[in-house]
Amino acid sequence: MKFFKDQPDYNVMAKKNLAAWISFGLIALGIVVFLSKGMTYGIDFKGGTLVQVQFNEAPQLGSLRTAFSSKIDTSVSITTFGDDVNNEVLITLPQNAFDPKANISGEVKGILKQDFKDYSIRRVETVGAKVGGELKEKALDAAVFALIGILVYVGLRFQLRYGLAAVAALFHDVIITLGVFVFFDKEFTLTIVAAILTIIGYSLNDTIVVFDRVRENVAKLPKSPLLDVINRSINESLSRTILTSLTTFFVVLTLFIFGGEIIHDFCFTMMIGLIVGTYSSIFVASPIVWYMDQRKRAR
Amino acid sequence: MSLPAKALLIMAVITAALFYDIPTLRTFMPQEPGAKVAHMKTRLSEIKDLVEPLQVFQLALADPKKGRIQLLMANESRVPLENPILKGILKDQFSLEKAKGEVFLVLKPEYKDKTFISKVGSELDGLFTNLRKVTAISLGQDGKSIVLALKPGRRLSDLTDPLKSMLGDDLESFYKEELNHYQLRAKGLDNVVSLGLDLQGGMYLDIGVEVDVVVQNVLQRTSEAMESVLLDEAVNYDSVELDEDQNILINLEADEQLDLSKDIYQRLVEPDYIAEKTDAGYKLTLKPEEAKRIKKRGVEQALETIRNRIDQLGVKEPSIQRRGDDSIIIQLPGLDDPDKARRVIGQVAVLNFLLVSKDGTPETLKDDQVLLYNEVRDPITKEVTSQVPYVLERKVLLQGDMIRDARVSFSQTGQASVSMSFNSEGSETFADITGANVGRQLAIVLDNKVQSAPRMNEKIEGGQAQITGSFSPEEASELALVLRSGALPAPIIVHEERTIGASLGADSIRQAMISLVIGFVAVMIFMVIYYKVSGLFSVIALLGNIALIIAALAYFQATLTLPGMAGIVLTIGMAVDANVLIFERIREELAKGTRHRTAIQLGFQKATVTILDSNITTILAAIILFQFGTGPIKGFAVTLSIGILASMFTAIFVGKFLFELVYLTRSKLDKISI
Repeated sequence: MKFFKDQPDYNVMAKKNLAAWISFGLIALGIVVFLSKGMTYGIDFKGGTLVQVQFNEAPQLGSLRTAFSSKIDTSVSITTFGDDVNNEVLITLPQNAFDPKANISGEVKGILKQDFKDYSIRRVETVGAKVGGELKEKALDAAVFALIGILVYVGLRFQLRYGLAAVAALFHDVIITLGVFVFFDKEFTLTIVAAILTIIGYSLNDTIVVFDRVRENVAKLPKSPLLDVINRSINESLSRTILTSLTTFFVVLTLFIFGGEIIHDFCFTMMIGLIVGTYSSIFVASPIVWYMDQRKRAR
Repeated sequence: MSLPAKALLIMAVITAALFYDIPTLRTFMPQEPGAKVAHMKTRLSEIKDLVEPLQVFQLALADPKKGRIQLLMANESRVPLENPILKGILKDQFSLEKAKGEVFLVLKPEYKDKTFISKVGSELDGLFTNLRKVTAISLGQDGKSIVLALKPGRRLSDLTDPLKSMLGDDLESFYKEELNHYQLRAKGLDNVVSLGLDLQGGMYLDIGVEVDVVVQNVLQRTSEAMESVLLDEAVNYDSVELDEDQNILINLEADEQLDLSKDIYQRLVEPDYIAEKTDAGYKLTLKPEEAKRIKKRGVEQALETIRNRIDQLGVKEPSIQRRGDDSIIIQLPGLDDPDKARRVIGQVAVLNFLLVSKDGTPETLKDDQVLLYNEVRDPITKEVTSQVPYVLERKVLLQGDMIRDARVSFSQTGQASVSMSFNSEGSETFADITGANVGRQLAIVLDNKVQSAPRMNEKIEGGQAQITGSFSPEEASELALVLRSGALPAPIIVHEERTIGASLGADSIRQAMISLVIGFVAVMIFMVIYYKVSGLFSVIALLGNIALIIAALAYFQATLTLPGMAGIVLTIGMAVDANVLIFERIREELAKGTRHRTAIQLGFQKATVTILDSNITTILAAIILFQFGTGPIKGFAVTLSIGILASMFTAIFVGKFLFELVYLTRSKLDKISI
């Protein structure tokens, strides 16, 4: 079986202006969404408490809210969690809801005790302000180090302009993915940071495969214009790009469907990132290399 | 490398991998319902067979002169010399003799000068005493453990360790004080992947110690000591107090002089404080390096105390570590009762003994008096129903650090309380206090709450005291535990807590396994349809890849977390990438009209460069993830990088081997199924 009967010969680079418009549009949209809605940080970063409770019968969110608001002054968010058949709710409390010395599951049990029975506390997560700040810092460090590392490696193995193009494509991927992420009101947690970094790794992988072809073809066809070489390289690696993206997308999709609620957002982010990353390795990274090459020649 | 050499290498790698894989897979495989219970039942009958024949023995009387040990038995029965526990002590050096209804173990002549009869006798005696404490051996309620019930208030002594011989290699024991029994549970296996807290359930705590309180306490003690020295020296002082910036202010009365350079003061001031003259007297400031040292010691002390407490909770493989200057990381996998663990870890447990004042009311509190409350709780809801005020003399007469041991005890009405015994110094002090204050009430104050205030009717010697109150047996046992393990130097603050229930962990494993299988099958079908026989090669490589990942995780004793499992699933998707790159290259070469044999060689050759370049960057991202990530995320980074490394080996090396084996060995190659 083959996706393409013969070697595909799409004039991808001819669409580079359209692609640029689409990319800039999406990035702009992403930034707008980001600025207008703002990122909803999970307790990992802003601190707070999260309690996952499973009831034997369908939980009464209304009476749960009353029970909590009568005992706690601050705002409490109570939502169902996962499939309805699980009868699970997620209770999110801000950081100052309890004393920092308090035994949180004990306190929550105390609140639930009077009005509810037949429940079990399945998960309690509390993050204090100190740790939240540290985690934020570390996440930022990780992103910066990852980008620097990539720039250096790709710059060394190829040329600096390839490194810059790869990093630019990564920014493109991350901004658009986060835009979609914010648009769907997802909560930004440590796991999402992991997802973003994985997307960076994956998208880069894709980009490098194309660059590798470009490098090879530049050596093979020194007289052809770079535009043609890039076009040819993209076409030559096209079926591989599609195939790998599909298999990876498959497995992330199975994780998304069957993997359970806890890694749901992780998989969601991965799926968006996979789509954007595949697009960028074809339509963004290589045109940037060409563009930088043009600038250099003009000088 | 020749083909047989490659085959050997691959076989070796796969064998090594399987050696680590099989135990791991066994723990993951959904067991037949009741398999664990059935296993425990077998173990139960084995243990019964081991213990019960020995319970008829009452005493072992050693008679070194005659070279024999007399055994006293409850009834006339056989002596099970073949019993492994007995064998362990006797080492086949004794023979059995019966005379006039009496049973003797006689030392065989050849061991005459090598074995001490009295030592063997006392070992036997210890064994018999221990085993007679066991009242019943039964299956635990969940059927997954064995319960060794003891006579009330007894505990097995370590003398002969009869427990050890019952445990074998597969069980470990936990003592449960409030239930007065030992629980024998299945032990974790070595060399298998251990599950993260998010998969097996458990508790992760990142706590800090309120170090400022520790410093405050030290300052408080110094200022009290200073005050008493000033009193002894008959210096007229107005006050000795702490200001807000943690300085000790000595305020003298007008026209009083104080020379702090005198030895008696210097003992308190010297290495730790800087003294500064003020209008009213002196200001003592704690040196910054000393404050730092006090804080550090506070954290160390808290760590030690918490470790003691957790040891007694019976948690499998707890991990307690320091992080940075002021944090302690506690990881308790597979916890039965996280609530209890949290209570036990968090209780400060400062125990003080203070006299109840003869006079004084809460309204007219004097300088040397302090007002504390006794909280009366509803026995069922545990809510505080009323607070009884106590006016106490401020001076602490005796503290909890003099406790040697604390145990649960029960009154005749069945009410639980905590009995404490003091060490020798504490016993003396306690005797002095009770002797000097007969007729008065002594308040037992725990964490600034009055627990009880019994009247002292006579001098109490022997160093025993009791805390009574409306305790449930569990509460009493928790209190005994924290008192035994000592007080925390200051309250703790929770920076981060993550508690996952065991059922949630099990759900996560199941879901991840389902995803793994479905993802794998989908990719497999896809690859075989797309690349036919070559696709099958990639499937074999993929299987090898998964085997290698699991083996590597087991070998490094890495912890598998939920994101880690997601990492494995993701690797499956990405691992085929290497195969795809190779196959596409081969197809390309074939399309160009290259000869089949050369096409395969060129395909692998050209794709390898690409695979290396693209994978190294992904590993780069994974390493950075590992560097910054916490628990679960680290797990993801680990499986991702191991997966990528393994995929390079399986796709390039194993893949090439399969091509060589199937195609390149043919004398005439005119078709490749790709």
